[in-house]
Amino acid sequence: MYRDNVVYVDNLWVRYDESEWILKNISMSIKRGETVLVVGRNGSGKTTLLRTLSTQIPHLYHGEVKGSINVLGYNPVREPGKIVSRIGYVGHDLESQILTPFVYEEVGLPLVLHSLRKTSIIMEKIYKALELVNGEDLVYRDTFRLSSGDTAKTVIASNIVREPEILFLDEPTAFLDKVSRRVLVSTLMSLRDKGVTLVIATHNPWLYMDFIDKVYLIEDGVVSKVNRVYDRLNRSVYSRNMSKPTYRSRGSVVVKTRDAWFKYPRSKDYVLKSIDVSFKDNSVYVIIGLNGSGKTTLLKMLSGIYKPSRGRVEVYGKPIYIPQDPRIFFTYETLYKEIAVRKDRISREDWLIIEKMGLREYMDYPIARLSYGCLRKSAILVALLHNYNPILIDEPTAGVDRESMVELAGIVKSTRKCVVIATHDDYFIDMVNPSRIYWLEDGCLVKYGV
Amino acid sequence: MVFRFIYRELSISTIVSRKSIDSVNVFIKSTILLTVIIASIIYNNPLQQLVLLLYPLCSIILSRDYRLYIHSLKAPLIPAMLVSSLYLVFSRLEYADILAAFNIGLRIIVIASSILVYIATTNPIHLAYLFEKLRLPKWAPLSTILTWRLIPYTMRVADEAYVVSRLKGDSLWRSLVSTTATLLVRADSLVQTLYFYTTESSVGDYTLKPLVSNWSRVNTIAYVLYSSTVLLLVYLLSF
Repeated sequence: MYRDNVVYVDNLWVRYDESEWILKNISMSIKRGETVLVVGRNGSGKTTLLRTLSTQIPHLYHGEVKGSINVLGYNPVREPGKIVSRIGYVGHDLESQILTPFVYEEVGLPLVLHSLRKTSIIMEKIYKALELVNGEDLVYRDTFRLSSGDTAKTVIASNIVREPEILFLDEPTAFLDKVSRRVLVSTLMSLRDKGVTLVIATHNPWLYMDFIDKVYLIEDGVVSKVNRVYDRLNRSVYSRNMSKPTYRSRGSVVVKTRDAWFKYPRSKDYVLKSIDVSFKDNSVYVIIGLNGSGKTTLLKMLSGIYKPSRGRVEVYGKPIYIPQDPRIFFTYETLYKEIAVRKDRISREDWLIIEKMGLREYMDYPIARLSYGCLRKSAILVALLHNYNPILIDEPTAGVDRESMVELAGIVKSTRKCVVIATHDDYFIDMVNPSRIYWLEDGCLVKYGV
Repeated sequence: MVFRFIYRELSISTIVSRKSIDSVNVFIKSTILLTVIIASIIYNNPLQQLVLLLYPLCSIILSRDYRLYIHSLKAPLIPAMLVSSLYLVFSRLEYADILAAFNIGLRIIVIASSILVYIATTNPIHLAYLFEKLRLPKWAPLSTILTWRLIPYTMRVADEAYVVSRLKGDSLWRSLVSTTATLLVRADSLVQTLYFYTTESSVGDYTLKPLVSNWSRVNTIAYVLYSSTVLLLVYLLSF
C-alpha cells in the first residue's frame, strides 16, 4: 500500500470538536510524484482534508479523525512528528505565513530551526530554493514590502528549502495576478519534475491543466475522483474569455478625482500619479493591474480612507470599502445583526437578495465560523443592502468558488449603485460586464476598453 | 481620527527595513536604550528630557532614514498630551505643576520614540540571538521575532478595521471586534507555519545565529560616542 502511494486514505471521517462531520467516508490515494487537485465549493471541506493529511488535525486544530489514513508510511494522527519534517504546507493567507523581516531570513528560518548551522550551506540552499521559484532577486528584500506575487514566491521557497516529499497548497493563487499565477504554476511544474508530490486545493483548476494527474471533487464532505475537471464542473463557466465591456454608464457622478497623486509615508515614490477619473451611479467599473500596481491604494483613496498627497478626490455619496480580507469588514457577531443594525426591518426585496446570494442559512451563524468565500459574499451583501454608494470592492473573488462567483456577478450587475471593483479575475470581469475597465500601471490609470 | 493617527504612526514607525537597520551591535544598543529609559524616568527636568530626545537621532543618522524620526515622535504625541492634560486637570495649576506635566509628556515621548526607533532599526534575529546567548528560555527568541512582525501588522489591521468601521458608521469599539477577530485568524496562520518548522522530532537543538552579520564596528563606536555625549549632557544638566 505505502510502496505505491504516499497518501492512502480509506473511509476517512473528520470533524472539528463536536460539530457535524465535515468529511464523510473519504477514500483516495496519491502516488509519489503525482500532482493532485482537490476542488469543490466554499465550505465543502478542501482545507479540512489538507489539514488532516498534513497532520494539523487533530494536533494543531482540535478535531476527530476516523478511518484509515497513511501519509508517507505513517499515520498522521498517531505519528505526526515522522511526517511533518517531510512535508510542506502553503496556506491561502500568504502574508500571515511570513515571520521575519528579510526574505533570506524567511527562507532560511526552517533550516536554522532544523539545526543546520553552517551559514554557507544555508545560504546556498536559500539561493537554490529562490532560484526554483524564479525569485533570485528577492534575497535581500524586505518582507513587509513584497507584492503578493513575491510573497507567494517567498512562502513557497521557505517550504521547499527543506526539500519536502509532499507539498500541500491551499488556494495558493487567491491573490495573485496573471503574471504571478503563471510564475507559480511554472514553479510547481518544476517541483513536480523534481519528484515532489503536489496536493493543491483550488477554485481555479484550469491553471494546472497541463500537468495534473488526478482531480478529486469534494461535495458536501464526500469525495469523488474525476478524470478531468471538465467532466463534473460547468465547462461554460471555465472557458470564458474576457470580452470588451459594453459602455453603459448612465448615472450622476459619485466619485471624481482631479489630478490625484498619492505616496505612502517613509516613501519617496508616488504609488498613484495624476489620477483623473470619475465614476457614475448605476454602473460597474473594474480596475485591473499587476500585484503591487496600486489598485488597493486607489480604492482606499476613492473611499476617503487615504487623502491624496496632491490633487483632489470628491465623493458625493456615502462610500464603503470592502477590504481584501473580509474579516476586517464585520463588526457584529452574525450576518443578521450586521444587516439589521442599520435597518428598521429587513424587507422582502432584501430577503430575496439574501436568498439569491445563498446566504439565508448563514444569517444567524457566527461570523467567525463562516468560510472565506462566504465572508466575501456576506460583506458585499451588507454593502448592497445598506445605503452605501459608491461600493469599492477589493478582490471580491479571491477564495470564492465559481458558482458563488456567478451569483455574485449577477447581484453586482443588478445593483443601481456605483460599484468599483479591483480584481485579477478575467472570468468575473466577463460575468459582471462592467461599464468600463481601467488598467493601472506604474501608478497611472488608463482606460482598457470601451 | 486620534486613534487612526496613533495606529498609522505606530505602524509606520515600527517596520524594520533594510534601509532602517543601523548596524550597531545589538547588545550595546539595548544596554544604552535601557540607560536612556532609566535616565528619562530619574530626571525630572524638561530640559533634560529635551536633550534625551536627541538620543533616537543617533540610529537615524546612521541609517539615514530621517522620516522615521518624525514618525517616531508623532506616534506618542497624542498619548503624551493626554496624560499631561490629565495631570494638569488634577493639579493646582501652579508653575511647578505645569512644569511637571510638561516633563511627564516629554518623558512619554522620549521613552516611546526611543523604543520605536530601536524596533525599526534592529533586526529581530540579531536580538533573538542575543537572548539565546544570554540563555533566556527557549520561547524568548522566537517570541521576539514574532513580536517584531506583529507590532506593525497589528497596527495596520487596527487602522484598516477602524477606517472600515468608520465608513460603515460603527463606533471605535466595534472596530476592535473586527481587529481582534482578524488578528486571531492571522495568528492562527503564524502558528500553522511554526507548527511545520518546530514540531517535535522535526526540530533539533537549533541556534538562531544571524545568517548575515551586518553589525559594523565603526557604527557601533559612533553610536556609543553619540549616546554617551547625550547622557553626559543630561547628567551635567542636573547640577
